[in-house]
Amino acid sequence: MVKPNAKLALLPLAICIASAPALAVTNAELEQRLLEQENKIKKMERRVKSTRNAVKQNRSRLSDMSSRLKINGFFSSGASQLDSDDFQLDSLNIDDDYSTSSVTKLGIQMTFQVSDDINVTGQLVAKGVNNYDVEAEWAYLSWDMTENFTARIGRQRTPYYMLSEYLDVGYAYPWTRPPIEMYSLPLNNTDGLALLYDFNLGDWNFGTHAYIGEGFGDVESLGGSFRLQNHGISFSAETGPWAFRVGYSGAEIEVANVEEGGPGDALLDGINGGHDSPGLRGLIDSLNTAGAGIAQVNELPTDGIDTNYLSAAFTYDDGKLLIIGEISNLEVKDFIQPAGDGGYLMVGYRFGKWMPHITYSRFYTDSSNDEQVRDYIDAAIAVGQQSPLIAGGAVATAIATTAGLGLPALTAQQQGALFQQVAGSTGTSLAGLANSLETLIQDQESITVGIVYDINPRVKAKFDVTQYRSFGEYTNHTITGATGAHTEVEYDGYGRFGLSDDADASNIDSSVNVYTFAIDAVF
Amino acid sequence: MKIIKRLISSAVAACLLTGATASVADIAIIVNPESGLTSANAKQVAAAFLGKRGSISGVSVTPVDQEEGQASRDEFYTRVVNKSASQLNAFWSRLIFTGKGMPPDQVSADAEVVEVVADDLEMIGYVSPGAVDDSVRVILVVQ
Repeated sequence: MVKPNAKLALLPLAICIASAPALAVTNAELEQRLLEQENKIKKMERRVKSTRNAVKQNRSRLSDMSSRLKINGFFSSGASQLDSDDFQLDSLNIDDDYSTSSVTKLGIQMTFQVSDDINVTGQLVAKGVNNYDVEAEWAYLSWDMTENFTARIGRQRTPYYMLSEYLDVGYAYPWTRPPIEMYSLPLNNTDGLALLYDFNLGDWNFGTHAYIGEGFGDVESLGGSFRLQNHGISFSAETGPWAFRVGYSGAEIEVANVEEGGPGDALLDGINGGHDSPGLRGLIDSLNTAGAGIAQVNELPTDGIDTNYLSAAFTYDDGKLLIIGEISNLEVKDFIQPAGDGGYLMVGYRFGKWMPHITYSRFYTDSSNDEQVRDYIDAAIAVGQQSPLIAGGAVATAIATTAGLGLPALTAQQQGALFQQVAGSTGTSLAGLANSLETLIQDQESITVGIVYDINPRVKAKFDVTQYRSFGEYTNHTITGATGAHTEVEYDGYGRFGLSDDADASNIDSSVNVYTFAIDAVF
Repeated sequence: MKIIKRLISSAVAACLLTGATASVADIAIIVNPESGLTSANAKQVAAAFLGKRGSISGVSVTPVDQEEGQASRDEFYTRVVNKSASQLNAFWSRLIFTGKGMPPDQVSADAEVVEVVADDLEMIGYVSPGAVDDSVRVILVVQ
């Protein structure tokens, strides 16, 4: 007996058996069709594969292009203000009204990888202190000759100091601006050739950077433009948290051009003579022919001015504690500029996103600078004391000239007036020269207390307060022309600052605080 | 008895699981299996990623980095290189803007690091250990 559901179970089998002959008939045909299908699939697969490859290639070409051109930038903005109406810091646009231009900067850098070992880099920077004029601070071609050896040709930052090469990148250092006692050299670029050699020894990394080239540009504080024949070398070494650097830079400076009436022009005319002025040297010569016996001063050169700059620095950074110290010496041969020793020591400690820090910084003109300047001051005073003689000579010349021209002789009153006028102006101008020379002897120190906050990994907020003080004293000279009487009064100094128009030089503040807030970003 | 056994095994499983979550924060340093490099210490790896060394134990290496915001990246730089994200940016900005170096190229995930390292003999990368497969060789695990 077959159960009804067993019958049902047999049904598919029956159907299979029934259709089997039909299948057998078309088997060869089916195989053929299958083969065709398989071929079709293979073809499609191939097509998909080649499309995928094309896409991949395209993508790699795109990424190749984008990895060949790299764009980076930095930005700073904020405000700065000082708290005394006697002082101003002209080079940084800082006075007793808040200023944003003193802090604001934008830089864009593009590096194009020309080949595996050659790249071209340009960095354009617009700074508030330069009226946002865009300048190419860097523009060079770099060639990795070997793994350790790189040559760069073009415009580069002159590596005067440890931070000099990234002076504009606020994000890279803790202050809102590096200490002005140290970071104050004008003309920071060299167009030329640099060789960089890096190597490792044990746990140490060593670097050497030698350069030669030309620097040029305007120095606003001197009212002129200059050309520098630059060369120098620096060595760096680092291991673990420590980094050390020593550097030497030499330059031969040529005064390319001075603005008429500017501070550079006044100095050159005042000493060498020119623009209808006999100058200090001319006056000494005339007085000495009259038997005065004043020691002649050297003419100020306008080219071939040799300068040497030495610096040494260290950094300790273990991730929490940050210590930076740097010292430098600037020597300017045969020319009078405030040259001397500068340096600072900074300590900071990171508490998560916050880093409070404190810095002591100092600058003073050194004894060789001061002696050189004092020679000129002494000569100016000695000549000023001869004002009556100079005025007497002028009167005698005037008498002779009028007589020679057949004009009526000068009255005693006219002679007296002429004497007073020449004597007075001679005394005043020589005292003025001596006083302006006094500003080339400088001394100042500062304490900076600041805090840095990491807003995000690419943006920092900074606030710092710097108190500048210990400016020392300088001598203010007055010469009464008619008698040649010289009086000296000691005034409080003002270091690298300038005095505002409202300041009474005889009574200025003994210190000044500069407050600066800045936002620094890199991208 | 059975119930107790089950409890124990589930406790063990829980431990393993938490262990596994903790080990997500581990970082594996990987190279190509064909590379001559079989081991390295954290200092050597950090020096390679900071561009201070082009080789480890005499074997040339090219680091591949991960994009900012990737969990592995944060772990790697805090544990292996010992720099916060902003310290790292300050470090690179000193080199970038002085033409002295460029940070390593970046990819956007562990899987891409594995792909790139498996593909190139010199590449060295970091990933979370879970992303490692047999197409790469682990030379260091930092916990």
